Amino acid sequence: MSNSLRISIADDEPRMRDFLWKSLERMGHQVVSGARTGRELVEHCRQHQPDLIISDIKMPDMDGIDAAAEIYHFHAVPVIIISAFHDEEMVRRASRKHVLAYLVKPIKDTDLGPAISVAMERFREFNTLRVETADLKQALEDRKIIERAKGILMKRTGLAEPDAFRRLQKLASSKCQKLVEIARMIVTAEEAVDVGEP
Amino acid sequence: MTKNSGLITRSITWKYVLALGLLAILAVANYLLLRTQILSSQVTTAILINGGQQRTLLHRAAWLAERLVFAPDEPTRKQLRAELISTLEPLEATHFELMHPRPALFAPPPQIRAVYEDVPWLLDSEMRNYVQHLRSLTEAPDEELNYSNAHFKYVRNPQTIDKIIEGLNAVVEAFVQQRNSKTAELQLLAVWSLTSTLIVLLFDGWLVFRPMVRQVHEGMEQLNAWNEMLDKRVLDRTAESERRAEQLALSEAALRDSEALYRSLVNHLPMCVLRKDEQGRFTFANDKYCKWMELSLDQIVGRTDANWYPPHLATKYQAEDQQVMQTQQVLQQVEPHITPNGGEKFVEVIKAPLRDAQSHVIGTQTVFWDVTERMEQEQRTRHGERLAAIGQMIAGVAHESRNALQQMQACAQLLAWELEHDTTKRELVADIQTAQDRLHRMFDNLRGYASPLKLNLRPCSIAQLVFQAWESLANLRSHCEATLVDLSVDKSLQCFGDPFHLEQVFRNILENAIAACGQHANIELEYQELLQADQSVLLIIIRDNGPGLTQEQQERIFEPFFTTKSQGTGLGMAIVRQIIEGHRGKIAAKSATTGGMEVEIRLPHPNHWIIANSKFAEELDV
Repeated sequence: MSNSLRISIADDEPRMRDFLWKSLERMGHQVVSGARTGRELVEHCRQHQPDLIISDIKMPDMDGIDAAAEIYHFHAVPVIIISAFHDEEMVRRASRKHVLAYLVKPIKDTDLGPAISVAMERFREFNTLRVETADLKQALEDRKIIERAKGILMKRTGLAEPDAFRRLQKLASSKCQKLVEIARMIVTAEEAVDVGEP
Repeated sequence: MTKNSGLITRSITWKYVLALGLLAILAVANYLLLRTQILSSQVTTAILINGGQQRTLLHRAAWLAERLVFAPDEPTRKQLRAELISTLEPLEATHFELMHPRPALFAPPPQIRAVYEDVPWLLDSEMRNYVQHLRSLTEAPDEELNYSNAHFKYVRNPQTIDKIIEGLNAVVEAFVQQRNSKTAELQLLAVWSLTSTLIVLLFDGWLVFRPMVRQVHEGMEQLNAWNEMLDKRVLDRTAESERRAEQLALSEAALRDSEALYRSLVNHLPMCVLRKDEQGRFTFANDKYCKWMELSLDQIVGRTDANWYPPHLATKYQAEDQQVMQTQQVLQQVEPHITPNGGEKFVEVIKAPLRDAQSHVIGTQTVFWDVTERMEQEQRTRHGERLAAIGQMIAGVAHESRNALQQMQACAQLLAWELEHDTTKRELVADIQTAQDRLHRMFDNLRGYASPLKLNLRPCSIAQLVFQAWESLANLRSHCEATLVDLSVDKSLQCFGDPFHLEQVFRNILENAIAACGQHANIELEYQELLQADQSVLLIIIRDNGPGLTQEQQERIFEPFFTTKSQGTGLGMAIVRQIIEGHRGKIAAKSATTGGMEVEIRLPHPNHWIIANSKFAEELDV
């Protein structure tokens, strides 16, 4: 990931939008859109798929935190909140809705850099964890199917477990397919036979 | 029974009176009889004697007359004349008595008078003639004294004398006869009297004394019965009295116990209890009050408030006592009080009128107790409430100000970028940003000061806290030469507090000190345990070599927004005080004897905190 980010910003104050826009550009980032309301922000994100969102909380029609939660449904993206609210309840609500950094107004342009770095770093860690989790989940699924296929083979052919596994491996290499695919086919075939001979 | 006895008594009395009356009549009758007898015998005797005397006197007179006539010489005659005269006098007297016997009651009865009349010569005239002749004889001159003298002849005539004697005899005989007849009468009367007396006695004995004796007997029996009953009642009463005495003894014991309980209660009450009379003189005070006043009970009783309270308080207390006695209503209030060592306290007082058994007001009873701590607590609470209200407002203001500050910041920044190449104008913008920073910091401080203090108490080293504060001021110290010297003996001394807030306390104080000292700041730190009257405290002193404090500064240094620094927010020392008071400590600032300012912090001793203030810790929301 390059240092320059594509960023969507949202604030109902035009001056604040100007300030953020200019500051971010001076830091070498690209501001892809500036929204006045939460709903606009959601639309912009759907359209531009930005790398980062910087948003105010209090805006007409939808607040920044709710917008972040909605965006997360279709696009996982780090969110930085800048708000005059700083009570614990608000901060807790924000962190539950995938907000990675929380800045309390008034902020200076110099406060943005570290906040962006922290947010991006945390997002990266978060993403890594997410991918790892997905891989582990897949591996677990695969393993389940392979075990079932092995069971079917053992039942049908009377082979011992190591032999059944070896036969599956051999089948996969001869067919140039993943072991799990072969296993899935066996399971599917077994299901078909089972339905055929009730 | 009483009515019956009354009747009996009355009947007895009546009969008794009748009997006594009869006896009295008998006695009187007998007396009269006896008296008559005695008188009559007296008279008779007198008559007999007179008769005899007269006879003798007559003979003597005749004999003397004869001697006179035949007297040889003059002296003899003279003597005889005198003797004759002296004989004549009793003769006349006895004659008069005979003729007029005494007493008059016994006047000559008809028989006597008859005797007188029967006598051939009237005895009386005869006698008088005789006496007359004799007298004439005595007065006759000597020459005529001879046989031929007529008087002598008359006197010497035996017939004359015999006649008189005969008359006398007749009279005496009559008297004797009369006495005899009287005596017979008397004998009859005596018999009658005896008979009647016996009859009356019989009558009395039968009709009066017999029933009386019977009634007396019955009365005695009745009396005995009553006596027995009385004895029984006396015994009963005695038993009852003994029982009462026992009960009384028990009651007295109970009363003593109750009294002891009351005394013990009153004396162990954590309140001062005292009583005064109508003139406001103390009549009683419990142990607590004696201890409170540092006086003995003897020193208190009989004195008035004026003996130990300052005049304005004494006048106030006395006016209240009077009011309570006049209105007879209980007075309850919190009022200022001054202890003997000059300590100013607040006490809650209940004054009530004191009454005697007849409900007359005879003084006042006062109960009071120290509520200074409560008042201070209330003051703290009120202060806290006010701060909480202010805090809420400040939080609102601070929040709203954030948007405005952000706006300012954004605009200033945009302007700065616009003017990147114009140095002069960029400086102006920088000034705006500095001002905005200050405003921001001030809002933060304000919010910190106004929001409720939440303390997280734990033991912490004083030296370490001060050191951390000192370290955090490295930036400030870089502008001058500043030294911090720890003069304490026991450098391991710990206090019980919130380290974060206490560090802020020391940071603010040190920051002030450094700012006050200019280029060369020499700061001294000293802390120790101090044993005070009721509890020990930790005393922490921070001294600098600055210009010290004026009187006004000394008084106002802990007030919010009071500052001597051009850059200060005026909240630093106010926050310090807030935190120290939150720890139930005290803080004071003054000019040190060496010049410079000296801040003195007193914190409760850790032991005191842990034992006594667990409740307070809860209140602090720790």
